[in-house]
Amino acid sequence: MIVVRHHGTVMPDNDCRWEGEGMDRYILARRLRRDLLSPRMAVILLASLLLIGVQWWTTDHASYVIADSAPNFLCDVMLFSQYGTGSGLYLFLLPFLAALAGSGAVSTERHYSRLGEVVVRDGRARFLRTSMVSGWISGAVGGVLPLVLNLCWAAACNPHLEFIDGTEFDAQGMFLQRYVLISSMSWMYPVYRVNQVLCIVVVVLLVAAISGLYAALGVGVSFFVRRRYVELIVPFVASLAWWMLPALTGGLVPDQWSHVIFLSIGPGSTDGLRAQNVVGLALTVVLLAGASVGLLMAQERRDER
Amino acid sequence: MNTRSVWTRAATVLAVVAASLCFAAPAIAGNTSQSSWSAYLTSWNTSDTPNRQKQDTSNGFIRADHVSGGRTIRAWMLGYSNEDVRSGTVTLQSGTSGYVTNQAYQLFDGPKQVHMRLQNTQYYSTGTEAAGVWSPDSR
Repeated sequence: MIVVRHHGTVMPDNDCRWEGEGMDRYILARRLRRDLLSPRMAVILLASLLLIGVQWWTTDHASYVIADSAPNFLCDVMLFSQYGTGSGLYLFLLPFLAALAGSGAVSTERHYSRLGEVVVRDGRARFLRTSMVSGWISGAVGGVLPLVLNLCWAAACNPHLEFIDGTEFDAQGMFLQRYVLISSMSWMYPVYRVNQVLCIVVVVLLVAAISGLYAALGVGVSFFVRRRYVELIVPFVASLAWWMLPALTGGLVPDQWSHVIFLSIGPGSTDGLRAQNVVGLALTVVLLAGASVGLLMAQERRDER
Repeated sequence: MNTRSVWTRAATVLAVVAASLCFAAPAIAGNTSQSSWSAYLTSWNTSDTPNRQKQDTSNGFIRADHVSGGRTIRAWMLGYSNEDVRSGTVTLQSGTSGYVTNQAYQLFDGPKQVHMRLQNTQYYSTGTEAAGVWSPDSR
């Protein structure tokens, strides 16, 4: 049996369906191609270059001298370097960039009045699930793009990856007056000490996963809110509120629960607070995934009624 | 000349030498007395200590007696009008201290008013309260 698709593509039925998962590989590929080649991705590319520029400028033109160190291209990369304001700005904008890349699956189809046609062709439940997964993947790509470009640029300019010791203070608490990339008091330092490439991979995957989840949240919101661009704003506002929880709760919630802090792996934190980075990571993943899946299930249940 | 006159002249000379040494002493010892600083640091904004005179080529010194929330801040030295003095940075947490490398004395051919500048190392949503002591010279 063969199925003739919308654009005239002929493909075997058993090749285009993931049985039991309610997703269509063909729709997913089409959706991803549309997301990744959209003008929105060009905006993210431009934002990436601006962020890398901010990181370079604020590091290279700081009013202090950064000590020499063993050659390591990570010294010029956001999230890894303790210097420069690019890291903070990138992490602050991350949910917006992710949503820009991946949250438009439903709202774009609705805006161009294609939603009914697509739903009829693909099936409502399959369309919802595929939109969620494509949003997650596109959001992950969009969110991690500035970091990956920064890694590539820095590695091309300075292709060295020598280990830099992260010990900042002696036993008396006196600063050791040397360059430190990732502090030995950072929660990611054990991974960095074991293997630098592994550390890069872990950080890239974490940024991608969290970006994808923010984009999926935006897709979930767009199931219920018909107004366009709300899917871009909600993940950013949710991230902002989560980041501001220490202020809103009078310090009951530690700073480390926000991805803006726990993904900035260069600086260290005290012994008691280091574990809070892991708690923050777990809470972020669970809450974002839970919210996205919850919105998907609520929409599916609403469709069944 | 009688003996009393000699003793009087010797005492006068000694007093003059002692007085001149008193005036010269700061230039020899450097401005190492530790004065307090406190700061409230928000986002990437910086906070400066008051200016003090740097009197030799030694490193500056800064200690953080308290940094709120277990946070990490950084400090470096600038000239009176925020001129670059080729300062290194130190990272500070509660109870830590560091020497701040600089070339203020060399760049300005002598004593120079300087201050320390403080900044968060991460993009926190709330302000960081920090306090400690510092001196422009360390020997």
